[in-house]
This record gives sequence, structure tokens and C-alpha cells, in this order.
Amino acid sequence: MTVRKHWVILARDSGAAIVAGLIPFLFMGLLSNAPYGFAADLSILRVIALLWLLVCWMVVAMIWTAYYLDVWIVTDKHIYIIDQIGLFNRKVRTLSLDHVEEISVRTEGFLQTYFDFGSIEIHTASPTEENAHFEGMPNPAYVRSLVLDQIEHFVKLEKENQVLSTTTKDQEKLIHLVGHEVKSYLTKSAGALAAIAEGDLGSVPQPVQQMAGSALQETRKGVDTVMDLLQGSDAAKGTLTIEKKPFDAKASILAIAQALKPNAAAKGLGFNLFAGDLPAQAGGTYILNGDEAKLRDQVFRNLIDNAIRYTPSGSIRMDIMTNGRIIRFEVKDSGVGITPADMQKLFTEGGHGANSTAVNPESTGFGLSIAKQIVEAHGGRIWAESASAGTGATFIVELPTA
Amino acid sequence: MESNAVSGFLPLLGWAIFFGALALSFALGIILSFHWFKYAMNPSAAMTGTILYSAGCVIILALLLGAVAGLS
Repeated sequence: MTVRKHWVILARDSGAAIVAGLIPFLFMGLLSNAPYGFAADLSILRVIALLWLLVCWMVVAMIWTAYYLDVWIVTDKHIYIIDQIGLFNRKVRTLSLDHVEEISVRTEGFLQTYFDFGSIEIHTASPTEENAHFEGMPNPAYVRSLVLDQIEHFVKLEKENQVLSTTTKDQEKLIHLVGHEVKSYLTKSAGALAAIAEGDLGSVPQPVQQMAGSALQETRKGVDTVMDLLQGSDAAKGTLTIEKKPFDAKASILAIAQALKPNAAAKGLGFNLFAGDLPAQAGGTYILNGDEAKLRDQVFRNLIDNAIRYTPSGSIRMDIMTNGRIIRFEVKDSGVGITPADMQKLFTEGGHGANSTAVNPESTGFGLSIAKQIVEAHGGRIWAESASAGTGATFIVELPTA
Repeated sequence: MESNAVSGFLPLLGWAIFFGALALSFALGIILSFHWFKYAMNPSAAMTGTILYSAGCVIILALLLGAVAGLS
């Protein structure tokens, strides 16, 4: 809400200036009708009277400037007080609503009562903020109640934020606890199923072995999902730990690409990794100082795995290159692409695309959010580029070298 | 002789007043419109203010010019 002085103030001050400007003409009229023969000397008086009128007109312009530029802006958290003092003095200050101690309103005299304006004074408890005073405020009682409402709303909002924050922390703890428990059960189940499927418990009938193998695959997917949730929970709690050690990013990416190549081949996708050999004299290096396990599993693997999942047909191209002290890894696919709307929430928690669950129903929506946090924890950046849906996408990671 | 000196001084004073007023209104106009365009939240209010101020000054200066010319 923007508050200016009441229009009566402007009309009163401007009117007074204009009347003052016209008074000499009244005298001139009286003099010209006087019976003493002054008419011959009125020409210089007319010049002076017009000069006076011009000065009064300039005063009107200055009154309008002060009226228009003296403003209070009331928001839900602050009052911004803008004072235009003269021509070259402008004061802008902020008064926080949570520091307001007392608001007093005064309406005096016939004019203020009839036109409903007056003065308002706000006392603040903050030692760094000055009290605020506004003369000629329209409907001051309403402004007072509005400010009080905003204060009440602000206090309520602060309380709700605290409750929400506590609830969120409790939920994060619960997710963490449940995640660990579920992971523990799934790991035990995976172990038992692996023992059956891989024949550690002796020979079992072929259908049982196949069923155990299939169940083992699903259980491992479950473990991956729970790991994603746990990593997301760690990142949200701010307890994401990064253990930095120098490692060869090219070797790490190559190993993942080799591991995931069968998945791409099963879908009939072209799958190529281009990594230039760096001549020793070039001074470039693929050695990163970072948490290899997290970058490999949550970033590089995630991007390649996503490219395979979201590309029904076509090809995937990966490039790793250096640019000075930056290692750049790109994964380009010819898959479903990303709409501008999905692009906005791509790297947020649970940031599924509108149609992504149809292509990849197992997605938790945490993968890219975790990847972003890990990359940023290494001082790097990650982003995606896509013209639109159906045109494929490119995911790019840039990380500083060791 | 004395009357001629006074009648020569008045037009000179009149022209000095006119050009002084012209310079003052122009300078104040520049300063005020700078404030209006820089700080006003509504650009059309700044434009309206500038037009009104300029129109008022033009009318008063035109009357002043006529009055000064009448002194000669």
C-alpha cells in the first residue's frame, strides 16, 4: 500500500501560493481605478507582478514535488519511508514491523475531521531505527489498523514458519530413520536372494533361480531408491559430507560408461564417449580433487543413466574435456527432451517433468537435485539445455580441477 | 535629461528581469523534471507534471515579455 499526504494539503498549499501570486494584480486593478492618475506608472509594476506570479508558480511546482515524492510504502514486513526534503535532499529509510512498539494517530480541527486526515506517529523499539512521523495522512485510523493487522499477520507467519521448520526437521529425521531401516532390510534380502540366485546355497531348480534373480534385481533398485532418498534427506538437513581426494575423472566416467553400456545396447541406442588425450605440454588435467564416490554414483552415473532411461531410440554422446582449470562433462541424448516448464524445476527436490513418470516410473525425482548439490559442494555447476520436448537434451557439468 | 535616464533604465531592467526569469524557470524545470522522472512511481504523472509546469511557465513568460516590451 502506498500512502501520500491528503489531497487537501496539496490543494491548500498550492491554492495559497496561487492566491499570493495573484494579489499584486488585485492591487494593480485598484490602483488603475484610483482617481490620482497612477495609470502611467503601472507598466513596471506589471512586470514585477508577473515576476512574482512566476515565482509563485515555481513554488506550486515544488509543493507538488514534495507532495508526490513524500511516500510511505507499507508491506507485510516493513514500512519504507521516503522523504523528499527540498530539491537536493532525499531520505529513504525502513522501519521493520516486528520492531513497532506503539502507533498513535491525531486528528485536529475542523478541516482534518471533515476531510478525514491527520498525523500518525510510529514508535519503534529498535535502537537502530528512528521513529516515523507523517503529517497530513489520509484516513490515519485505517492506516494504523492496517499496520497493526500486518504486524499481527507477520507475527503469525513467523510462528507458522517456526512450526513448519520444526515439522520439516522432524520429517527429515523420520525419513532418515525409516530409510536406514528399510535399506538394512533390503540389503539383507538382497544378500539372501543373491545367495539363492548365484548358487551359494547349492543347486536350486531353474524357475526358483530365475525368480530369485529377478527379485534380486528389484531389491537392488529398491536399495538405490532408498539411497537416493537418504542422500536427498542429508542434503536437505545440510549434513551432506564431502570427502575430497584427487582422482582421475576420465577413468571414473569411462568405468561408468562401460558398466552402463549393456543397458544402452539393450535398447539399441548408439553410445559413445569422447575423451581427448591430454598432451603433457598442454598443462590440462582430468584430475579432480573431490569425493569420487559421490561424483561417480550421484552425478556422472545419474546423468548417463537418465540419458539411457529417457531416450527411447537414437543415440547418447558423452564428451569430457578441459578448459583451463575446468573439467567439462557433457551428456547429449536424442530423447524426450525437456519443456521450458519442466526446465524450471528440473534440479529441485521431486522435480519430475510432466511426462517423465510415464517414461521412467521408478524415478524418485531426487537424483538431479542431489547431483546439483554435490556439484555445487565441489565449487562447480550443472545445468541442462533442451530446445523443447522431443528434441533431446544436453546435461553439462563443470568442475574445477585439483 | 534626468527623465531620459530613467526611461532608458526601465526597459533595461525589464529585459534583465525577463531573461533572469527565463533562466530561472528553465533551470528549476530541469531540476524538478529530473526528480519527477527519476523517483515517480507512475511515469505518466511525471510527464503530466512536466507539461503543466512548462505550460504555466510559457504563459507567464509570454505575459512578462509583453509587459517588458511595453516598457520600451
